[in-house]
Amino acid sequence: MVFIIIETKDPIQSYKNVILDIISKSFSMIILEETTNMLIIQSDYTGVIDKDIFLGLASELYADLRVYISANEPLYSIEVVEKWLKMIPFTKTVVYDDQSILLKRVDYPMNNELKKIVLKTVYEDNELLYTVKTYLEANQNTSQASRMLYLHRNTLIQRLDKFYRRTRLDCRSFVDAYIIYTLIKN
Amino acid sequence: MAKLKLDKINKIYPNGVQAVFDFNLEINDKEFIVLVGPSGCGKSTTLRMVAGLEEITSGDFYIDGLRMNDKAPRARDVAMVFQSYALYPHMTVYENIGYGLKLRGMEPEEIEEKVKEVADILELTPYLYRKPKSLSGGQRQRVALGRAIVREAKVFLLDEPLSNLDAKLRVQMRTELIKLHEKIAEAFNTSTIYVTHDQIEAMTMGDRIVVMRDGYIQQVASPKEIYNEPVNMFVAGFMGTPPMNFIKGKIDNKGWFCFGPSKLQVPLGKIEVLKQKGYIDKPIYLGIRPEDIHVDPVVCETYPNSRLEIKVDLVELLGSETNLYFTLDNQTAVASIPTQKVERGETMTVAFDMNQCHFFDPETELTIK
Repeated sequence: MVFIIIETKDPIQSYKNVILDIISKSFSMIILEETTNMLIIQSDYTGVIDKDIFLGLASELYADLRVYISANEPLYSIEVVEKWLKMIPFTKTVVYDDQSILLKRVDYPMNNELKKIVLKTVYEDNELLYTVKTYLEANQNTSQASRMLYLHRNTLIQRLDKFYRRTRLDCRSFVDAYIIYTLIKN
Repeated sequence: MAKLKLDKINKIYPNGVQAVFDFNLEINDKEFIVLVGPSGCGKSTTLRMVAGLEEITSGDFYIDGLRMNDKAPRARDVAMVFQSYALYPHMTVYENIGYGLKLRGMEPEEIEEKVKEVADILELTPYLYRKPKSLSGGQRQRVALGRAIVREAKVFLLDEPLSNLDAKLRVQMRTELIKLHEKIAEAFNTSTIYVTHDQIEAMTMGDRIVVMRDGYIQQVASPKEIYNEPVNMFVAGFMGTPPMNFIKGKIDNKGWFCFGPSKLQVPLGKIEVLKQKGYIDKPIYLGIRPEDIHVDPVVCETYPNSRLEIKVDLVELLGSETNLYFTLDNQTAVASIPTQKVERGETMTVAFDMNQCHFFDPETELTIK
């Protein structure tokens, strides 16, 4: 079940028909919520939603659109994403997914609430957090990190996999690593 | 008709950052204007203000004498082509081009006529019933243009439309865009504003070029004038590949440009100007384009007082031309010559065509003329 947030700078009412017309031609959906500048829709579409649909809409409407497309199993709630969107200035058309919105969010002041939301159960797992921090500080070099941690390399890899299963953030991906380190470095 | 006037336009963002300063420009009917400059210079912001996607902080913008500042983008009679093409992935080429007309309530027969007319201009007719994913980059670009052309707008705004294409395709599309502009300017009286960071695109495509830097207009002129008569070091160095050589030195009271142990005789006409402006025996920059530095012995004979012995640091073979990099008084310079056999480390004589050189004030960086 994916949810999509669509935001406009002007009242969305003048664009709504076109937005819904185009989206409905691509996948089935229902409107969850509508405010002056925002539309939140939900779909049980299981394929990849092409962000070009929204870039095309922005160029059709000659309006900037800010869009967030959740994962098929959403990692973060609508309320949380709406809060993040309020923090991030809306300058021009952009289509966010989980990684890109987090990347933007960590540029702004952080708090424990954010860490809990993103790190989930790992937030209180000090051993796993320390493992991940050491791995990142070892330039993502598993051999070096495992030596620093006095762990077998396979054990380290298992822990990194565990971190991914719990948070859906991959320590081995550069962008995810940046996000993770920004959250856990202090 | 599509005469545009941007009068003292400024853009200041809510966080206080000013992106565009005192932008003044008049665009004539059917003109192809290029805004060029490095990333962050304000060219896309200016384009977005023309489109209505960015609010104009101060100043006035007119199309055919009508003030546009408070008009919504859709009411401005502009058509915009974005860098990312932005085609609907689930619609055919026909549907992509025709969708905007359908929104306007046009009848299907009329839509068909218009779409086919535009497809014909853009040579997209064989692809009308394909979807974007089965098109090449150049074809997708043409569909994006088609979506804009059907609007029959007064002004076309193109924001780096070629930057997603590979180098060879970019060259091909440049020519096609120029031909296309001529066709639609004739058919629909459209003016075009084209934004690019690529100075070759600017030089080959524009009727006039607006060179921007840090939010300010540096110079507005035809490609020829921009290239031959740059107003400052930035314009001189930005336009042209390889870029203009800048050598720091001094003009002595005998009319020679001196730098390190070397000297070059400055033509009389230029010396008179430099004397008048008080630049004798003061630091100054000499600017000379790579193609105005010669190695051909016959040509060198004609410049006896501006010849230097150099050692080649690097040779760049480009095909019919070769770039030779060398050092002059700890300053790197490059000569662009017809290809001949030259080895790295070789010493040779080069001659500067001082009639083509420019001089710049080292503090203001303005051309001295």
